[in-house]
Amino acid sequence: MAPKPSKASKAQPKAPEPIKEYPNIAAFHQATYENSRPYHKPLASLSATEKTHYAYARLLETGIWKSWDEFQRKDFWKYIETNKIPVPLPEPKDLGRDRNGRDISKYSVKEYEEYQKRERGLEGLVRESTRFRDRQRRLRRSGRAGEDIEGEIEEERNRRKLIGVLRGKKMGRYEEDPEWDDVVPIAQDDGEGALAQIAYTEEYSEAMSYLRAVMSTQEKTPRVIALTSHIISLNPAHYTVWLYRASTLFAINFPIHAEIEWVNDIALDNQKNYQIWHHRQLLVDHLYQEIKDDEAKLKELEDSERAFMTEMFDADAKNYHVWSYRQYLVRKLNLWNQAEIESIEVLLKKDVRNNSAWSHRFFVVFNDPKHCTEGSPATAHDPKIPDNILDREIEFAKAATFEAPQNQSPWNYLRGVLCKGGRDLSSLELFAAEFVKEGKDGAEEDVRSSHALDSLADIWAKTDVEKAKWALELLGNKYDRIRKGYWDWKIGQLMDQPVNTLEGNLEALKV
Amino acid sequence: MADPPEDTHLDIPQHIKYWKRCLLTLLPTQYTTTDSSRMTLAFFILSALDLLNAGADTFPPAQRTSIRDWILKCQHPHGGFCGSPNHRYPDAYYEGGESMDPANLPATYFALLALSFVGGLESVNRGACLAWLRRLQRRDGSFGELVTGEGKVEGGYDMRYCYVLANVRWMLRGDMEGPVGGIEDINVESLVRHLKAGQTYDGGISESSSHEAHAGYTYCAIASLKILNRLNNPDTAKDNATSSGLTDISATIRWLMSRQIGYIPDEDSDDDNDSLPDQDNRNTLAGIHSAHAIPALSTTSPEFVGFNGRCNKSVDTCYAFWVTASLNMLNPTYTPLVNTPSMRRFLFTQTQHRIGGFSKHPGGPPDIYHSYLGLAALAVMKEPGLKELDAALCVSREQRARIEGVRGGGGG
Repeated sequence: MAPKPSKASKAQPKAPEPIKEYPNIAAFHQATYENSRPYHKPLASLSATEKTHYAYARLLETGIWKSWDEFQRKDFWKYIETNKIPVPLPEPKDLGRDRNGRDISKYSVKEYEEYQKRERGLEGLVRESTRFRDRQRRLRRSGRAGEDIEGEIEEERNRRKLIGVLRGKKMGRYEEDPEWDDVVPIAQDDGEGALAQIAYTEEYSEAMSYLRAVMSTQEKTPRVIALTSHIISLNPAHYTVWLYRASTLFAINFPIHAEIEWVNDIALDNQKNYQIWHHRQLLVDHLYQEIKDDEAKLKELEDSERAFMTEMFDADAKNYHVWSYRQYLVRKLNLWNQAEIESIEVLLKKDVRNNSAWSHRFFVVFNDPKHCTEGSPATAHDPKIPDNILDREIEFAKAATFEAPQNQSPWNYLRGVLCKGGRDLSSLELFAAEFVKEGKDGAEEDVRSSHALDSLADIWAKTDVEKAKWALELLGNKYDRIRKGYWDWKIGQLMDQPVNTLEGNLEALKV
Repeated sequence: MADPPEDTHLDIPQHIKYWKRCLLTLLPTQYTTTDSSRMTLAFFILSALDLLNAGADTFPPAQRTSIRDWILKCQHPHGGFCGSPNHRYPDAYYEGGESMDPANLPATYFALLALSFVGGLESVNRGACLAWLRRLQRRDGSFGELVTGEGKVEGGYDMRYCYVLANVRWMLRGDMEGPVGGIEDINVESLVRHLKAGQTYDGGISESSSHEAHAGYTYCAIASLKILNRLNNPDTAKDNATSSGLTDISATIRWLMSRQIGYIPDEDSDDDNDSLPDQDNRNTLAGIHSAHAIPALSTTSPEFVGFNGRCNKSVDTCYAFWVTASLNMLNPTYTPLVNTPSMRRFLFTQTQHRIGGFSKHPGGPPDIYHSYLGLAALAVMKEPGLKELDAALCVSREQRARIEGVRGGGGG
């Protein structure tokens, strides 16, 4: 056997200290290249011996000696070794750029050595990882997935981390995790002409492609819970991920209380999200089936839910989704009770202008099956409601009005209660007049609430059109100028159609 | 009524720039939370440019075609549209009849409208979509936003779904009575009953009459009745009185008018603490909400008027639309009753952004949703330079006419 050319190249003079001598690996390669071709100069300048050496070097380079018989080859190599003719190296190639975009030719010799070592290591790891995947695939195919020796998966996980480090680019969370190897992610296909394209993070794109994959196979396993948590943390408004999570939870009998704890944190961080509250409803519906005969547990649920909503209301006492959920809960857990009313009063004490709390009070009082007609809408008279409840509500709203006369919430509430009780708005006349004192003998009037004037205008429209007009003019010109257009229009309604008023028409409309 | 000063105006070139940017460049990563409603954003972008007279008819034909293809690509094989490509699987996945990630009702509404700008309504699978609409209706007349693979209607009790349903139905059925292509209509009577039952004790409308009135839901209920031809204004109140209209329109008008609130720019601080302004100051704040103000009675007329969505809440650009459009549908003569000069001044100087678009609150960054509804509000009020708006469909009147020309017609 002929010695390998590399053996021959050892014969060439090595640069003594390349690190110092060469500014970078490209220079070193160039020098090595040039050193390997000492005879590559004008032929005329070569001595006769050099010319012979040159001929041998050419033969080496063309590789023609490989076709010779053994005797010739032996002779050939003997000459080369004796005369220390270097094997001509090919011209150095462009080394390209590394993963950080750095020009590899600018590496120092030592850096380049390390780089090569790393690359070799990386290749080895990738080979190992491919072997692992193949093995797992075979196991899955034979229905033996997961029965693997403990530790191998962890080892592979670490291997992939290392591959990521060596590549200088971390693998995606799911690509890196051997537990997800059986899932083929489905990438998003936007195509051309896409509108409202978003600069997705790689993390989001990857997670979504795995979600699409598990949804397509309807996989319902614990890892799906983790995946959906991840998606929800990035895009809580995804309209199907919550539903998919819920059906997975129920399929694997995930503990509902743990889920409620989790969803509490998400809700506190995403005040404006609707899906969270729908999800919570699904959870409570499910839990309710389990505990509906256990009064202690129901009470516990009532208390913990109310406590959590209080926490939500500390951040935003008018959060619409929370109030929707609260109505659901009142119906579900039958919370037509004093505790519910008191907890609203606490909120109203903090902020008497909290209209959401007023609305909820109206709901709790006028939908309580104990004294209300089922399904009676908010705008309808409900003859079943006892007078004492109507009186209580009227007094409650009046007290709040004294506290802040310009707060529209209790004024609206009063109108609502009167309508529920089938009582006339005119029953408020004396009360409203408390806030509207007509000036006697040319003195200026004393008005403390535009809403009182508004109520009086409506009351007087049926009894004393001139007074009604006076009230509406005061509103438009003085006490509520922001709505002047509206108040003037009301005057027009009053004056132009004294008989057939808008209200009159609508009165006829009410069924 | 005095016009706002010269220097406050709708900066049309800046708005066009803003929307062109939204059309042509990637939205920032923060928009990831709207990834499931990209179709909504697509509609806002196309319609805003239309309102600004720079709509899809001015795009190169190749761009219109590729936009149309993208929208149609989001069509669900079993009817309706997905909210974004992230919800739409490659075709092969549906071959076994699986619904995969189901179609979404609001997305369908926005996709149809968006398509109308680039010409593609005739390519919609009308029969499948109409059949799917029927499956979305609940027994009480309301609609959900999607039907799961198990056939369960999901989504909250939300007037928005009724609104988009009414519009989708209008776009795909036209005014035809009875079955279309063998597909029965939704139950319109129960839907109307549900809409009417949403009126609350204070005159506004909510997701149900037991909840708090909300301007967005009020708009949705009124617009649904309008598009279903069941909204009777007081002048025609006697027709169909038992099955149409709102229970108490005068209460609704009062409630809508009450949504106007004065706004005082908060110059010295933007901290969110609850410190109260001093007493003197407080007394001058009439129905006025600056960050910390408690309204008391006042006789001043505020320079800036914004709109809130619920009683005692603060101003937000989008409610200018929900409120003025609601009034406009009840009766176009109600819209000018709004304090228009102060409203324009508020939008132009407080939420219009110098890079174009509108923000939600004064001083905030612009976003697609509020930028569109800011323009839409001004278009309802016939702002010069903008196309006039059809309040119910929330596109220009011109666009509505174009849809009327093709809806229920060719294809399907």
